[in-house]
Amino acid sequence: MGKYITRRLMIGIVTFFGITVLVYFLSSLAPGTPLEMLFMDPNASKESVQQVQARLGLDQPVYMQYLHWLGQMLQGNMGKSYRTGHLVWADISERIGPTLLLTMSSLVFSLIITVPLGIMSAYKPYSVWDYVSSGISFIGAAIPNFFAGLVLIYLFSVRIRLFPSSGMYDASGSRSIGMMLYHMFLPMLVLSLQQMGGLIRQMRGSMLEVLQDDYVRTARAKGCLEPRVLIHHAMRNAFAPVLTRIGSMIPFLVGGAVVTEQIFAWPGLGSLMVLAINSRDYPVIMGVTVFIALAVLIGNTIVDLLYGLLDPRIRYN
Amino acid sequence: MKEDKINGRSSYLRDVGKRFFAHKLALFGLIMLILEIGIVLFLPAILHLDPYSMDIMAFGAAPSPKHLLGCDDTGRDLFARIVYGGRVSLTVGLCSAVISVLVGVPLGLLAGYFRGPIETVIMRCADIFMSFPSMILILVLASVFGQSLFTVTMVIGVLGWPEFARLIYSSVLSVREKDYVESARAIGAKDKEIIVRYILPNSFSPVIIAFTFRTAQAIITESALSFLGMGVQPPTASWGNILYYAQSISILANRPWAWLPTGIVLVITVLSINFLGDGIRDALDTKMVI
Amino acid sequence: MKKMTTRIGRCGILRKTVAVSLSVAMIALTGCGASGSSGTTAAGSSANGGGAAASTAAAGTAAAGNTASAGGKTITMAMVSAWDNMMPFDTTSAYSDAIFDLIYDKLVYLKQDGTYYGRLAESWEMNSDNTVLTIKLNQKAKWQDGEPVTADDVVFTSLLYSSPTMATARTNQFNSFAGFGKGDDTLQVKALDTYTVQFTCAEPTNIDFLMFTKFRDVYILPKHLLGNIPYDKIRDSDYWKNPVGSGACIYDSQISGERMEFKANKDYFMGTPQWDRFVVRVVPTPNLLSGLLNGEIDILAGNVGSLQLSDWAMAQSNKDLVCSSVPSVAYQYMAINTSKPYLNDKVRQGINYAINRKVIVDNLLQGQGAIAYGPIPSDSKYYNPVIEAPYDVNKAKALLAEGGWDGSHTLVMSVPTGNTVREQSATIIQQNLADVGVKCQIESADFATHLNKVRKGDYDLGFIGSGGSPDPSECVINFNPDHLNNFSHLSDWTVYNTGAAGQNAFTFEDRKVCYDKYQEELSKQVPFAFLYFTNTLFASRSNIGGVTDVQDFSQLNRDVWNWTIK
Repeated sequence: MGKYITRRLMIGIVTFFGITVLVYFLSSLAPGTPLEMLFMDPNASKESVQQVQARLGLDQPVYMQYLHWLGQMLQGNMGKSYRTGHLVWADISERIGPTLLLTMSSLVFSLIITVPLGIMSAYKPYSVWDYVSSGISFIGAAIPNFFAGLVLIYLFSVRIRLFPSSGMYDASGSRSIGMMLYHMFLPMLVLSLQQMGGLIRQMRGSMLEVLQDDYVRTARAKGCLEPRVLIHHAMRNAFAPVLTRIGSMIPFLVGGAVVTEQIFAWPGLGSLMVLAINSRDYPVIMGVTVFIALAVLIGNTIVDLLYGLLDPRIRYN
Repeated sequence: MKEDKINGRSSYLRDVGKRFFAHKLALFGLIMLILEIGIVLFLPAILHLDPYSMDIMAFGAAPSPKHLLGCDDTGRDLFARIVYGGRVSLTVGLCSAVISVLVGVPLGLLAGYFRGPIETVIMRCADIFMSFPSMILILVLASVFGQSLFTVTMVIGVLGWPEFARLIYSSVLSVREKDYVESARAIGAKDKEIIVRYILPNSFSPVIIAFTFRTAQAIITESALSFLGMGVQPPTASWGNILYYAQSISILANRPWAWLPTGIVLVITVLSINFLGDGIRDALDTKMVI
Repeated sequence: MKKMTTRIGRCGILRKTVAVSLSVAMIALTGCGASGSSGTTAAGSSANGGGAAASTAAAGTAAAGNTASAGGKTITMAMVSAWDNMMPFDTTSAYSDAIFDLIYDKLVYLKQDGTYYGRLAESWEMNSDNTVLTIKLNQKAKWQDGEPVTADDVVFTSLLYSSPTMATARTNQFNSFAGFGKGDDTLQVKALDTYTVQFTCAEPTNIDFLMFTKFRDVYILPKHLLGNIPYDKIRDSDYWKNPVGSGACIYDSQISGERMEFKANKDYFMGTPQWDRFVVRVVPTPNLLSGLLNGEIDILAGNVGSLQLSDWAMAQSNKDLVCSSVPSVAYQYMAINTSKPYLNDKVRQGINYAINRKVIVDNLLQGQGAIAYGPIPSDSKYYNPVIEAPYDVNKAKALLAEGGWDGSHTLVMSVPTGNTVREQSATIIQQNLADVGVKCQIESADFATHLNKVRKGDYDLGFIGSGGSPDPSECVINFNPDHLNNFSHLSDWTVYNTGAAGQNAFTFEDRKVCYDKYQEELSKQVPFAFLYFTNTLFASRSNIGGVTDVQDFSQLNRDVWNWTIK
């Protein structure tokens, strides 16, 4: 097991560096420098641009800038944002919490609905369960998330004043968790809908397959009660592909809910990334990249471990 | 029974077909898609639709005999734009899925069949691409290569290769150990032959299934890109950019013709493709009894 | 096979629970990081981000000095994009300016009609040959920590902004003064006594120009808090995490990119605010109306936060909102690349006459705007009607023919994304130009890419906007062939020279003559085809009072101390 983990980590480190190189050089191809917007001001002059450029180290070739960044990064220094002047790590750490909170709770919410629905719709095909789950999965997969967001805002924020339409807290100055959850409900719903589109279908499909397997028949023949058969035996094995699917959603969960964050003005990592891309803020782009890559690395390793735990056959390979 | 044995392959196809047509939703999906493709290809010529010229008197107009679904904020006929938008969205969807297949399948084949360093490099690259939220990579690429129909298609297409590579890769891995492949090698079959005759046909079904879902996904990605203002730009019509301009509470409430038809068409298209994919998967998957 | 699977059944629960809790813990750990570092942010929320059971106590203690304000009056202002930098000298963003104006003070309060009244400055005087500006400060002005604002603070700020060592983005706010750019201490500004500052100009300069173009973006910083820090360390100082200014709002806390909260400065010298807390929220444009309607937002920021056109009718019909469509001096224009040989001056004039500005203003803007033929609004004293180029297809065609236009080129029209109305106007203009035989290909890109293309000259027609100014000199610098923002790639100095002359004229009559000539040159050379002035679609809830001069918000100041909330 230990060798397995070490090997995965080694591969992961290579992947990690690959990601940083890919993103750095891709974004350096984008025309325009971070100073483009800064110097829209009529008071700017070529000299002042050059001074700022020198101060930020932007006058060096791209590979030099990458190596410089890498060197700093390995010492734990992510540099300073060109746009805000803050430490990149400070900017990111402010945004990680909201993002993770939103995406993790949407995942939990999705799973709470997906697992029972998936089990029941496989167990009783063509029943109400089946139609409901198919319905949700189809709608979730077909509606673009921004559209769902706009409609939800319209229905629950304007027509029926039930939920707030944007932001993380309201203006009274109190920062309670309850208030944050209240503001989070709509964006979480949008994300969950999107996730359930794929997850329900996957759960149902793999449950259907698993229910055909011999050991399920054996368990029933043994006299196990139906719930135990379903949950204890069948679902455990059906869950593996779902886990894989969740594993592939990790990048999205960490930095990809860009559109939802934009609509609901949720101060997360995705919108920070968009801001950084649009202002060519390379330190922040790279900082977020590193963070996403790290999270993916850890996430994938955990998923692999879980996979091994679920199915010993994989472990012994 | 005797007939099946004699006819061999064609009986398999007939089985697939039978299973497919029994799947009502898939049938619905197929019909809708054929209808849509027909409309999108032929209606503009028949009805002389013009999505580009601006009717100065009709900015934001409601539906009327002259403009079946009203006009957008700059007086362009929405019905025409939805039909032309269909061309764009369907083209982006299909072409980018094709690009993903064209890039991903060969790479997956190489990785799975030859293993060794090639496998490591290709699968690591797949990891790298999949490790990154695609939306962000697309945004970066859009700012590098500009925003046009071609760029959007290429970008979405190229970023979709890991999925197909992995599919083919695992398919190859499972097939290459099988006895019939070993015996084929024993009688001296060349690599190319083995790939074409044994491995590809077995990988065919997952690829087809993934292709349909990928098309649907690409259509949604394009509309999301347009929502962020980074996709296909006006005056070219696309469902995504029609919806982009409808981002306002008052338009949602007071001008339903500006977004509802487009949204419905988009959802129906994606649903149809998804149903089709489901149908194909159910038809091709011989293990499922239900 | 069977043995193994039942093993999962028995031991699996424990293992799975352990594995799942381990993974949750790892994710939580990655999430928490060093969230304790920045005391100014709602660190409580990020520390709880891992999904672990959160305690309201932790959330409550996080915000520095967060007094329970459940009973106090809070005004919430919305703008559509976030501030970037908290250092006033390192950014040119109008969103950041909106924040700085709350924390700090400028010397004067600028009004859109071209007048101004004193803020930190109580009185000012130019000597007879317009080279020495003496400013007397308001002696009641105090920093939020109680110290008085003195002339030393103004001198310190001026030297800081203009220091070559600092290399700030705003260094050129001081380039009109003698001694600029030669060293860290060479700028000719001195404190004559505790409350009097004197600036010496490099050459005779118009005081209005200084106030509107130079001092508009200068926020006075406290010397007693920053003065002892060497220049190369100032940007790293902890001061910026909790800035102390002299303005009406005391910085309290922020959630980066989402909101910033302030307490009222009850000792503010311009007037005691009648509210207790002020919140600035970042709300995307489509959500502004719904935010106003459900009470989350009280007032829009104006130039950096205004309703989109499609929401206007609904906003006006709502009885909870007070709406006004405020004419502004901000305008949009289409830069024409004069360095392209086929875009000679006759062709450019032809293009100018081919644009149907009336349709853009009346139909696209729904009348919420005004036609712009030049950078100076038609109700300004400096307006010269010679610049008008009313829509005339025949005249356009004639001019194009005169310029040798043969229709063989397809022009590249570069349009930045992010401003819906501008993008739509581009498609209208594309149609207009097609009607006179000029084919255009629209290329969209994000703003930074677009600007880069324009600056490099990889375009024919480019869409850009400007905040404008009541001062007629505002656009002149863009026609300086040596300047960074010479978007139209002019090599001819005539336009710039006629405009720059106005800076050295000191009476209204003299300036009018200069700017008349300037507008005449603009109409002949057409480096920019000016398009329209935008109205600011402003709204506030009906319980907000004291907001009288909304149009002045465009000059980057808001008299928040006069606002009231019921």
